[in-house]
Amino acid sequence: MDSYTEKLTVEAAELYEYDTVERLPEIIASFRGHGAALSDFLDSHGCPRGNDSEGKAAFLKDKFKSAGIDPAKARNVVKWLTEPNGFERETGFRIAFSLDLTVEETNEFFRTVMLDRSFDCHTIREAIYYYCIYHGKDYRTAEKLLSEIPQPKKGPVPNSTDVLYTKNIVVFLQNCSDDELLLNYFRENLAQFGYNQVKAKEYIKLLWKNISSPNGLAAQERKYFPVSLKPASAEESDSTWNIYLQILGLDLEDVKSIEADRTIKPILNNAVFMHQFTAENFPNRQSIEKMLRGESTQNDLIRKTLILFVFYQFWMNTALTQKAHKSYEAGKYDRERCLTELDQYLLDAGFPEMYAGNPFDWIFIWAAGRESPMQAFRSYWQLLSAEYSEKKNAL
Amino acid sequence: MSIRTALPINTELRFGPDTCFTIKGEAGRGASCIVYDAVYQTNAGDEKIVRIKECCPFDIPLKREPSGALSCPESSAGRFADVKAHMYADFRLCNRLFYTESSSDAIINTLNIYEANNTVYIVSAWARENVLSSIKLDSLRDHISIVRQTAAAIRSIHQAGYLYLDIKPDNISVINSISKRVQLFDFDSLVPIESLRNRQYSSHQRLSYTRGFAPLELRRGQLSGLGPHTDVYEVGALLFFLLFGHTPEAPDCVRSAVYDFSAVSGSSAIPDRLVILFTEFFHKTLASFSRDRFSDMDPVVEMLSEMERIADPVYPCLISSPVNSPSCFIGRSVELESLASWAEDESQHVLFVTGMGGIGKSTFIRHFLADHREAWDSIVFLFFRGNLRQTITDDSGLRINGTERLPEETEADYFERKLQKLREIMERDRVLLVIDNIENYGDPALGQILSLPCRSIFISRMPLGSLNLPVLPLGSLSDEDDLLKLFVHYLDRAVEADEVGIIHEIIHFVDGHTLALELLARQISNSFLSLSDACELLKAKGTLHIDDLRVDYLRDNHISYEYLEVIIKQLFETNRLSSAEISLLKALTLFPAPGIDAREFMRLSGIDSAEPVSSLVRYGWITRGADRVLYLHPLIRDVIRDFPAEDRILCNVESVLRTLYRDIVFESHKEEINIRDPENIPAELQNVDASEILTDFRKLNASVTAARGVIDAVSNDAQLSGRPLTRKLTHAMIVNLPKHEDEAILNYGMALLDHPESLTALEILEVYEPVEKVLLTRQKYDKAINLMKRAEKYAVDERTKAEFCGLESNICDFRGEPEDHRKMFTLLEEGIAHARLAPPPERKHLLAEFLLGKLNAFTRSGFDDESVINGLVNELMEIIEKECLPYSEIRCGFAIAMGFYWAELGRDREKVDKWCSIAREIGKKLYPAGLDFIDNCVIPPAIMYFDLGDYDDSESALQEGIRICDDHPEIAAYVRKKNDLRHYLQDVYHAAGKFF
Repeated sequence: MDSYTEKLTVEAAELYEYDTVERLPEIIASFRGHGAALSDFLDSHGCPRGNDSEGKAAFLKDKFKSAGIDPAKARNVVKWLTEPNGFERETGFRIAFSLDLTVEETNEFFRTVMLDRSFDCHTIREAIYYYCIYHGKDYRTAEKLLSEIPQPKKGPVPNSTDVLYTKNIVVFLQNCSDDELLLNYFRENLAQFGYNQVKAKEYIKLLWKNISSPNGLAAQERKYFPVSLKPASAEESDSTWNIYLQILGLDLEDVKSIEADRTIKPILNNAVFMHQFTAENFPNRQSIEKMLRGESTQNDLIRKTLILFVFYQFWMNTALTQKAHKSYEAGKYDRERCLTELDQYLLDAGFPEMYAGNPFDWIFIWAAGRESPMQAFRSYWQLLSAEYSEKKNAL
Repeated sequence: MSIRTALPINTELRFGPDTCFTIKGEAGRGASCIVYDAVYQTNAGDEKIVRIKECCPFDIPLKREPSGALSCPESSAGRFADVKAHMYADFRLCNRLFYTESSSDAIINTLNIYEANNTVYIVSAWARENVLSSIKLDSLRDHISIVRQTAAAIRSIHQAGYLYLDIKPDNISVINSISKRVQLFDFDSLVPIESLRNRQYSSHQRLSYTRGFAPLELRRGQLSGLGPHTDVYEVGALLFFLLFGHTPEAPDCVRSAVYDFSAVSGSSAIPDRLVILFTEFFHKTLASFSRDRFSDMDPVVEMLSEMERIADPVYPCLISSPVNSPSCFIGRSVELESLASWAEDESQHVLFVTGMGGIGKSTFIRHFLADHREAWDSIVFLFFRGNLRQTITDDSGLRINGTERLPEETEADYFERKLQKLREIMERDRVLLVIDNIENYGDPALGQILSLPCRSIFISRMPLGSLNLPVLPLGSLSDEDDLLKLFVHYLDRAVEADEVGIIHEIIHFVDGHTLALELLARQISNSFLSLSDACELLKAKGTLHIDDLRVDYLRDNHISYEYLEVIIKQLFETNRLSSAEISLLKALTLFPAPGIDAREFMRLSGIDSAEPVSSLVRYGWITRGADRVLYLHPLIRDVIRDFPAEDRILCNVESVLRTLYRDIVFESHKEEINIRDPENIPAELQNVDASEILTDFRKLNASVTAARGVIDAVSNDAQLSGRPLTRKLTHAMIVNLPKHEDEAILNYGMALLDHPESLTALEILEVYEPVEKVLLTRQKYDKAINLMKRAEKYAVDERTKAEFCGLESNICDFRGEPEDHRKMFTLLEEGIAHARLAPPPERKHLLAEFLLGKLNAFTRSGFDDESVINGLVNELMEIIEKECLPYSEIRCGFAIAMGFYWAELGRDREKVDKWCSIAREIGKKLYPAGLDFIDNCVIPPAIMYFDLGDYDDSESALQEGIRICDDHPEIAAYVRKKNDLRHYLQDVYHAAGKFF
């Protein structure tokens, strides 16, 4: 674990609820941008330490050149290193080729620098990158292979029995070391590359079913922990909106001052207590409904939704085992257990594991370490809600 | 760029002058090798099969030269040498493991290691095994067995100091010997446990694993997180894969994971217990969080062994009826062919075999089945028991391993449950269901039985009429020679030439009726009659006309029977059977097929010696089935039933009725035994400790069920059904029917109350009570009040007046109108007054019941005059101490009443606990069945705690009741009770503020 990750991990472990108002803005400010993350990554991957941005840019340009990547593709390299907003995924893969990263190192690069999933092998482009990096083939080979394959049309996910899951594609890519065989595989299965995120969406549907069904976790929480919850609108308690608010520990009173249709986006905008990356693509009612309909959404949004749902599922199941005492308290090892289950869901759905350096993940890692994680998570939302109300009143 | 090229087929690999292997094909590839199937020639000249593993890592750019050699670029030479060295180490390790006593069976036998083609080859002995990934296992048990053996092999590898880390079907071969045996054959992935502990294993060394089978710590390459628990996950994943056909995913690995076992092939055959064990096993092997897994392989192997035992394929299954080939079967070749055609035609699900009684339908089917037994997994041969529901629910006929009717279960509930179980089994197995002697095609359950996924044969005397279903009608035997052979067989002696003509005459008299012919032959054989005398007798009666018999039967069941009766009665007269024998047969008519255990029949009918029964069996009047079961052929039964009910031939019937009545009365009145009056204690209980005297409800229910069967059997027999003893038995049966039999209580009760002749006033009022309670439970208060108007005339003395007060107070208690409260007090006071004047020996018990009622009424109304209540309690305690057995309902009721007193009036929690504990102790002995225990010992304490405001304890008590119900999830009575308990629980939660 690098010092940056370690520092944030320690912060997550040591920040108590009563300190959040005071310390959280400071912690949020300490999250590095993509540029700084790239800079740190280069430090640990061959770039002489002590180099400034210019030096690192030159190092990376050289690497591009020797990897046979068009130098024009690296003309914004200084920007990549200095600005917080990041760069295209395509650039990420070029950097991986240029630094001769392995699959595992590429995964790590995407997790810690891009804060995104690495190879989405359900897209032909990234499957070819995976194939080349896994088998030690260079970027030129990847470009050549890409030029020989037609692009698939985007289409709906077929019936479950016809789905070609990403993990099966990966197994094929690992076992195939012949380019021609690979091209034939793509040609034969072209239609299967017109959709992606199948497994992740399956998980989200399953998790939502566990949470929202008539005897699901949300209903059970309302039944056994009525005192702990704010009184949401009873008639609508099973609606996506109400359950969503229940998960966050908000109720209609908290959101009634928002002049928008069933959204909490205004609370997230420019919140002092929320990192911008966390607020971007934060799961909301509309996105959840979209995913449940199987519509395509951004990777980041899917990953965040998955984390939110798994987190709620884990801690509600834990709470229900002690419903007689109406307790949300975590047991021994529950923090580790929760984070492991989160990792398992993420990895199985093709996303990077939880990472303390990711501001969104950090909130959950922090909450999981508290005495009553679900309550801690909800207290954070109360903080955001209060901040919003204050700002609104000030206007 | 690495493109691994395998050696071509028929390449000869020479490792020395005498060692040559011929490549027969590529068997597979690993990360560091290519595996070949190969052969070599033995000194005897024949070929032996081997497996050869060639070191050829995928991540080193090796090139295959035309000579077969692998050329390696200089830059990778060092790494290639390392891999080869690793392969040497693997070879040595594999040898070591092979010679480990506990694992040699499950480890491949590596023969030698050679160098050639600039690489290394390991040669292993190989048989024609199958790799697990390429075979289909037969049964659930096989799946578990394979995984159990794999786990045991991995345990040996752990004991040798290594982790396996790549358990998957591709690495396991299955050898078919007496049972299926597994063998591990790929050891590339092994990692020394010690090197992980000492951090000697470099994270740069690649760990072999297979996605889907590898746990999180292995996929993350988290070396410090590896351990035996890593292999534990993989064993779990292997079983999961074999069961579900795919590897486990995140939702299967979380602590709250639930598994859909209906997706497992053959899921209907998975016993409930196994489902529970599977779930526990997956929770403890597949957990994402490694601490939640078993820490080593010992408990894994242990649990798999247990699961393997339970997965025995005989569980659950139908237990086939014994279908013995008849001792004599002659003729019917045409019908046999028709039946064989039906059996072969899988599209035909049902067949009705019809024909007159005694014509040989059952014998015909039994003969066929004995010859075609192998065509079905199970054959169930049932005797019709009055209706199809009863036929199916009778566990002595239709037996399913692990399924039986429980005492609390109604016939209707059990029928549905058993039908569902049957459906599940029949979807898996080829089952033939035969129901013999079905009497009513309008039976409401016929449709449900016809919809079962099995093949069915219904045997019936009734023609099918307009029902458009496949039918095979059986007529008389038409071939004279066949009939002659049949007659001679039962005559049991050689016949003279001049007798053949006489036999043909007799055959004509019975028109090939096989039973009549058989009976005639047996009678003649066992009597003084010569063939000619018998023939003369039949001629003299002149009543048998073939056409009349058959036609009349087809037109009108009843008329045709009369003709057959004449034949059978003729045989009675000719045989001069004693009235004692007729009496025995008459008694046996009370137990239609499948009949009754011989010893139980003798006990009930009061026979000391088995000889008369054996004699009737020998002569063919009584049929003896499997397991000493006796019954009458329906034809004979019908005829015997019509014999005039003269006292001399009813003595055994009377004995059956009397013994059953005594059995019920003895068991149900145990509580009223006065323990302080030795002379009053029945002989059977003289030496029994008082604490051991309590009603055995199983025994009581068995007697009540038997009585019900007998009452049903005589219901159409005016002579028997009107006898005083029958009415007494009906009374005893009704007052002891379990309370969930409410429909039966109403039906039998109202019928008896319409004709209460021979019953005493008290007995009549005793029948009114359960009937009234059913009406009150259904809130039919007007009907109950009308019923009481009818009952009032039976309140003729102090005892019956007390009883009537009790009946009246029940209405007040159930209805609960404002005026009812006061009226109930008045009725209870009146009841107490009458009870005090009632004659012994029941007086004290009766009084105690009324006093208890009054105490309860006081407590519930909040009446708190201590001196009055103390007086009541003292009087009750005195009666109980003196008169009641240690384990009696009155004691239990008293303890509960006292609990209520301290909860409602005394507000003393300690005393409440004390009395509840006494009630529970008694209740556990009295009510082993569960449902009564909940009513008497679970719900009352829950109410007391609730009233005291101790909601948690109230919840705990109700949860206990729910747990008891959960032990019987398939029984409707428990499901209904559980719902009630949940409603109470909601009230508790509500009161405790646990709702919005």
